[in-house]
Amino acid sequence: MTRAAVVGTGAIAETHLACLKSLPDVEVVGVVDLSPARAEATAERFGVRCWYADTGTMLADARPDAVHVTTPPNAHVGIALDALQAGAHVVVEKPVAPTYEGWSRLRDEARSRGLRLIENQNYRFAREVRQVQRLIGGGEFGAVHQIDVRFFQSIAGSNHPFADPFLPHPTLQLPGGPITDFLPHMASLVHEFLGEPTGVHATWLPGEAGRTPVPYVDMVGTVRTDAGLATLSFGSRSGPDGFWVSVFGERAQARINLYEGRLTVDSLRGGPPPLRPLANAVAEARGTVSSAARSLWGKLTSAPGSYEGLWFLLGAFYASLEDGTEPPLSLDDVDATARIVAGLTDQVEELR
Amino acid sequence: MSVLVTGAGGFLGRRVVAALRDRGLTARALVRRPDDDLAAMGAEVVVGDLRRPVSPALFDGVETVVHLAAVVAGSPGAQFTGTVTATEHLLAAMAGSGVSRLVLCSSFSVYDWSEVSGSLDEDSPLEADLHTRDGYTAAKLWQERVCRRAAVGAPWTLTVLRPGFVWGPGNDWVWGVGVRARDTTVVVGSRKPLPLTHVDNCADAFATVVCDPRADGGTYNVVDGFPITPLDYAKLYRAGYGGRIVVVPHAALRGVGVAAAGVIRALSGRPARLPALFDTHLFDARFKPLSFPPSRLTSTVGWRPPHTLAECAARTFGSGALPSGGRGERAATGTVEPAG
Repeated sequence: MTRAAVVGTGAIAETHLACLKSLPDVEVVGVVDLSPARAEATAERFGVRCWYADTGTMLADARPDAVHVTTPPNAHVGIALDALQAGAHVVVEKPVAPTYEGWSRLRDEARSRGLRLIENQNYRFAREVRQVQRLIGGGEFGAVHQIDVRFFQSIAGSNHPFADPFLPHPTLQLPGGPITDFLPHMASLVHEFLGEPTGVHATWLPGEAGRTPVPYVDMVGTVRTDAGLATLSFGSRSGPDGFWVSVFGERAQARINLYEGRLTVDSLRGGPPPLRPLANAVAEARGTVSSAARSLWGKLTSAPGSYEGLWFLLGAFYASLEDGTEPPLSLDDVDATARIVAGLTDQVEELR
Repeated sequence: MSVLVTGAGGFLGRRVVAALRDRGLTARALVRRPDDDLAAMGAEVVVGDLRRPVSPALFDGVETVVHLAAVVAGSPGAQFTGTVTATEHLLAAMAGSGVSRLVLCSSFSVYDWSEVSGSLDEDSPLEADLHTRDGYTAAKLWQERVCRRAAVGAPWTLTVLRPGFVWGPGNDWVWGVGVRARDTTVVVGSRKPLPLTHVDNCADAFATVVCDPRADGGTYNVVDGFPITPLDYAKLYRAGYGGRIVVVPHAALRGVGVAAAGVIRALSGRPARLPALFDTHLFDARFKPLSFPPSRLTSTVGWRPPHTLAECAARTFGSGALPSGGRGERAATGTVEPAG
């Protein structure tokens, strides 16, 4: 039985805990929050025996094999280092660290101690992404040379926690502000489909001073790899909220709505050319209806929804701990993602 | 006596400040943003946010704290932080101060409505399975829990008020009535009593507790005792805003939820997660036909809501909202029973 602990008990921590409770060979031995009531409430809800108001006491008392760091990003490095130095494997929420230097410290610590360290890159493991990877692996796409990743989230409005005028959100301290909170998801998909980054550029649009505390409201970036080019964009002023990735191969194109679990694939089909648009439309309609039905059923039956990839990732992570096999994400995978994020946010510093 | 009111800029908070003023008391009003209206009432306005630690100086010269601050919208996490963590910060800063009384605003939502049968009073069971309820209920229950634990051995007493559905100008929709869809009000169960308390009556209950030491240390529901049903209230609302009313039998709608949950559980093997209207536990907490005896404040200090239903309706929806010959009488003193 692997002993796990969770530090930080916000909404994403509850998703980690729900997943951990579903894993048969994992026992959650402690939860931590600076707010004792919050730690206790979370422990009570998920049937965890012990709760703590500080990480050091938890590490000494509960002696977990793995620690999930789900605090605000600026606390990630210190807590993850403490956990690694206590001999625990670590799962860190995204962004794994506020800066590339912070990530480098964690990476080196984990490597020197022979411990596993992964970032939550759940969308890399989403069902639809895995499905497209299977099609690519089966040769249906041919080579993939371009992808397009688009995130829409209304983070700058006064009702959004990121823009709360009375309680400055921790992500405001990230380079680029709250947008950077989403970049690891986007960067991980670039790495998933196109591999190592060789060049990164970005343009950031500042928020209007006095109207929102969010420093940047839109971002458009490009990433060059040996395989091709990726475009990334984040929009806080376009709706509805959504997370889209398009994968363009030599013979097929996929469009994934990651929030709604919808995948459509256009491919070069056989048959008379005039009928191909109809065939594509029918295939798209079938995909849309089935994903909508699956999404609704998932919502009615407490399924993980858009976090399904986290279930897959954590399941594979704990299986790898048990078996001594390679984890689903290597340090090099997380490093590549961190380099893309650093490249995008480097442009922020130039703007300032 | 100096009284600190947290959440003083809110719907109930500013009425409590006014009710204290009417009794000759000056409030120190903790608010998130400067508030000229409160200052005009003579309150000492202090700007702060309990979601962050606050200075012990907040309690300088304060004898009584009326703790109303809570976050009642947003994600469950945001509500927990704004209600429970905020209370932890309040209590931490209060330790070592000269405060002798804490009056906490809890809620009717803390009860386990599914377990209650007949009438709901101060001795009714509290919700035990918190994660089956909404973020508001979980936060209010934890807020009470945190305060009760801190009160043990503390140099201050804890008095808890649990208001029913609070209504008034600016908050004139009562969620126990039913559902609004465009210009239609769908009333769920037309004949059960509603545990209403008008915001001015509710504020008077708080001021009464502050001023009367006989109430110290107790737990009190706050209901006005008006014999008003969801259909009556929907008609008041219609008088103010127009639209039409459709009545859905309580048992029929609950039956749909029970059936849907059963089918989903049978097909998926997992618990159903239905919208609040079809989740029977949440449905009960909103619509269960129960009777609501007068507040224990009535027997303890003789409190009665000062404003009649007609006055409250006029303050909320304008004069003429309540038809003449209707239920303009002063609040009932007996238990309000379901009408069938």
